[in-house]
Amino acid sequence: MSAPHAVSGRKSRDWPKHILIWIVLGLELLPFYMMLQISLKNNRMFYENTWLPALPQDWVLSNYVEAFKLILPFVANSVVVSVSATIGALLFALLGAYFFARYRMPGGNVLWAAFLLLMLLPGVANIVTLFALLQNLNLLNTLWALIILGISGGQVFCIYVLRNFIEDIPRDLFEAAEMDGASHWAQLRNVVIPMSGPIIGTLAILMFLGSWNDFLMPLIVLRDPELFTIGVGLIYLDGEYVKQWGRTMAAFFVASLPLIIIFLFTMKLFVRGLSSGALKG
Amino acid sequence: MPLPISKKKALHEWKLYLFIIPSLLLVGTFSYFPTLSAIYHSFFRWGGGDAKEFIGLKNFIDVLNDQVFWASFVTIGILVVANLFKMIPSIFLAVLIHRLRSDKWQYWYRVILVLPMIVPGLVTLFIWKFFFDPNLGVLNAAIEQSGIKTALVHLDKFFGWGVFFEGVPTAWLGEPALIIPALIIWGFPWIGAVGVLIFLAGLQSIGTEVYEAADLDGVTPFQKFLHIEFPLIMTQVRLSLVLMIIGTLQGFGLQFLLLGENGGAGGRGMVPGLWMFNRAFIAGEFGYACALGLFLFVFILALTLFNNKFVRVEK
Amino acid sequence: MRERILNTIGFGLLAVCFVVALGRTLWPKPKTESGENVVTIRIAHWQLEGGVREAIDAMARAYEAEHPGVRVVQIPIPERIYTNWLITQLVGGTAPDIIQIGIGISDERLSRFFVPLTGLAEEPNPYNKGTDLEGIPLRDTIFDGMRGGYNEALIEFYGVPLSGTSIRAYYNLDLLKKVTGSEKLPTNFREFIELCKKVEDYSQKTGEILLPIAASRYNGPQLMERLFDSQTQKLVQRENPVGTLEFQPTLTLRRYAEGDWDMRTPELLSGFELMRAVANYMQPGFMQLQRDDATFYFVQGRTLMITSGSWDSTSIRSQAPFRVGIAPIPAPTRDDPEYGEFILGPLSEAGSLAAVSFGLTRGSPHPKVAKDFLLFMASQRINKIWTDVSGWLPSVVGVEPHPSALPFKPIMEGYPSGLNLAPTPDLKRIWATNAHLLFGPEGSAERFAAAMERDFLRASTSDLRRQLTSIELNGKRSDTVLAALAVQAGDHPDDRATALKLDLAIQAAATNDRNLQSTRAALKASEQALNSQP
Repeated sequence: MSAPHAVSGRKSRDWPKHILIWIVLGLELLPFYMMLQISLKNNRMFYENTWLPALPQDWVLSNYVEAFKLILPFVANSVVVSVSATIGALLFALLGAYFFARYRMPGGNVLWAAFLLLMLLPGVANIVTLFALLQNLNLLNTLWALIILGISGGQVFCIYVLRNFIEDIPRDLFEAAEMDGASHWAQLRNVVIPMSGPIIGTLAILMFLGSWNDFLMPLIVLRDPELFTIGVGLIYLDGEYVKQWGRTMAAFFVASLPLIIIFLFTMKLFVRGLSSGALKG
Repeated sequence: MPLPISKKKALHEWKLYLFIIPSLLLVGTFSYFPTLSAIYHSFFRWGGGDAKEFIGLKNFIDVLNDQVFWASFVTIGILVVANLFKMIPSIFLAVLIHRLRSDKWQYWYRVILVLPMIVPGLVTLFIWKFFFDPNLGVLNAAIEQSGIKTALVHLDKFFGWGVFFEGVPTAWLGEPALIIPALIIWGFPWIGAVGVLIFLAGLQSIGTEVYEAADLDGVTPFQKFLHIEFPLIMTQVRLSLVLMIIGTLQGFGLQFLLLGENGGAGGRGMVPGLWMFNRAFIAGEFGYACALGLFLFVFILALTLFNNKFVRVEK
Repeated sequence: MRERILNTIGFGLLAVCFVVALGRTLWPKPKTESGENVVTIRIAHWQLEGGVREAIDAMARAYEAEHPGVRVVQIPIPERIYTNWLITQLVGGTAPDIIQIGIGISDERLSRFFVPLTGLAEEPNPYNKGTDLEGIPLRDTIFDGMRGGYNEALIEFYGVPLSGTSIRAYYNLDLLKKVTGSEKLPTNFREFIELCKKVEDYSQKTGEILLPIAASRYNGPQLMERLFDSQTQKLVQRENPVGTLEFQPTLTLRRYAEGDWDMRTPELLSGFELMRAVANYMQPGFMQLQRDDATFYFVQGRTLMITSGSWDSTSIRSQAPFRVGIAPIPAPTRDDPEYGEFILGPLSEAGSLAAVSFGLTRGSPHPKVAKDFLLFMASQRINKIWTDVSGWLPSVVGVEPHPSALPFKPIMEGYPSGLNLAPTPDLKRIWATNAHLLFGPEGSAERFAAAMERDFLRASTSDLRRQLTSIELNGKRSDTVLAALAVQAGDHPDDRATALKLDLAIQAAATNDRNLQSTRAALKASEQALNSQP
């Protein structure tokens, strides 16, 4: 948090800033306000009253019943993919970062350069051949494809960030552990992981959000509706000819719900994580 | 820094190599292999299956003569410039929040800022798409009720655009001339949560005494921004500039979902990434799409290297 | 400390979600796993209109009931992403066994990824056993001779169509009663225009915001084309001395280049006037709206009428909170004082093709079962389920349409159609770009005619040039096929499928040759005319 610059003479002049901020944030949040209020209306109510919420007694709750039925399976798939991808990405990245950070191993520089080079590689260029590769690996139309791509896609960034972090851990800690006869695996578990809790949390949030928001790969990879993640599910919903806007908006809200709930509990971690993650990114 | 290690010790610690193997395998298989494969296949006429035919440099020559591809670079250029201006509200908001005295409010504003980030990106995208709907869309209702529409109709008459008419709903995504304006309006008021957080992090280093000194000198708020705040977030601004340019060049999800695979009416929303996707997954010309991807890759690579140098020197 | 507890709860919730979701993914519902030898076939389509998903589901359940050990899974894909989806699945080798053919399919893709069904078309459908269609070849059991599933360039059948289609006018009966006091639907253009006027008067009188016609860039032209068509019936007959009564685009374009008709020919001007007259009763700027916008206007009771295809019938009925009346599009009649002069008579729909055509993919792991299910759907008994559940027209001869589909039955008696001003890509494009000169606030028939006159020859020439290239390509291909088939037919004189193929190939070659001649002549005339232009 920034230091408060409490100069008594400026005390009375803070409210215009608050108003300005509220206006900007209000406009920024307008889409979510519209989503919430339309989700409780049917088409006719919306047509007659665009801006204001409906009265509670008129709420069309059946929108939510249908939305839950429609979206929950997609949410379940998304949770499986995003959580697995995040855990996998962080686990392998920790191992990799430990390798680079602990000793200057022969060949390490070459490997490091190989990783850094990938930072320059735009993902968009190889989407076509990636698709062909997944086909040859028989991974099309599986959630595995999305999990594995999530894990591998996170490696470079996570290893880059974690290496810097592990290098800053005081060397004596490792040496003390080594004296006790701890293996590298034990050092990773007992020294690195406890010391780098915050950065792991930050990376986890970033990885999770990235995977959660992805729709292009799922759209290309998945065929069966029972495997759809939220992204593809929403694209299919958007393609309906007959639009029940209330139901669609309710579905949007249900799709947002899991993260909103988790966010309510882990707000501080999120904000801190994203602030510092943004700094590093 | 990692400890230097002798050959003998390294041999003893061979198990450490096991740690890097999973990452190496993953990256090798899912990043390096596809890239090399893309380079290889760009010399072939390839429909995605096993059958392919070597055609030398034909794909690359075709790319050079591809009107749509080069036109899409103009479009993306316009969008990059627009995104440049779209960064201003984020800087403005970050400075506003930072100047607040109350730590508590600063924190809560950050929380509200993060809120749009945890809503799936597609939800935001589709809500905006709904805003653009000519019939029910909130955007048309807003410009109609605020009187902006009347002004636009007059401007239209004056300049002869032929897109805004009294009593006629404006089809933001259906009218070729309006597609780029719609893409620019998209996301109003253009607050990037990550951007604001980056800038706020940069502003943190400004101490109270700086403001006090400035106040004693009777500096206006704008001068304060120009001389105190902006120089301090210069690095962050440049960083997000680089990220924005590369992100915009690569991205095509927005155009794909908002306008469809052909870039909307008249193809005005076609961007390089979308054209590559279109050639591969619509036209089935996978080899050609690989060649397009390589052009894009080289372009982005050059830009990244240029940017890196630029950023480093200025630091 | 408090933060720690909250974080734990948050991540705990996520962990619980993960475990539950994982369980769901790893152990799917037992019904999908029951029995070891369950064969699953998948059927994909883009018909997301009301009723179709239910109908395909009903047919699938019927099949499963009669064929234990088979599971049929339906995959509905939005039209907007259908092409992308199709290419991805075909190339990726994950294509469903049965796929609706139409969007995103080129000749090359058909021949590479789909199974030719010409042999099947010549065999009787086993599921028609015991009906009056027993022993009749499949293609003759479909009302259009299965032309809806035939590809002329490849000279093969690739699809089996399930439905028929037509375009009709939908009316809001409750509103009609309120405005006119009766529920009589207009039968001709005069009555229709009077009705539109009444709606406008009513709207002015009561202050209720009402429009006569709901339109969009999708629905508007449907109505317009039909009306314009009526004005040019005689023109087409006059310009078409060959004797076939149908509209022949190539020949008509040639006649245009030779100066026999132009945009200011009375028939065309009259057609433009007619379209503009109707456009006055649509929402302003309808060319900016999409199909669902127009439907939305109509079902919200904001308009009296909408034109759309039979495919929207079930969607509209299920959404509209009022009673819906359906009638043929109210075109002018011969005794119409203003627009009667150039009309032959009502339009015949006898030549319409069967639609919702399904093909079999080559990569199918269970080709036999897939083929069997396709034949099952195309049988008389199951096509009845199709029409009853979906409310769409049937495609199989002798199937009685569901009552709600009856108003869509093709009108068999009538006269051939008139001119289509936009049959090919570039002509379509100039039509669309100039449309605002006809429908816009400051438009007129004259301004539109002038603009079309300016662009028409250039566009038609480029279309003809493209057409010629593709005909020449077809010619080369069909020559090879013809030769191969002739040899094959000589070796196996009893093979009915080969005989049919040979027959089709000969016909195709002849047609192609005719098209080649006429296109060359039309292109030559157009190029000459273009060169002589200032």
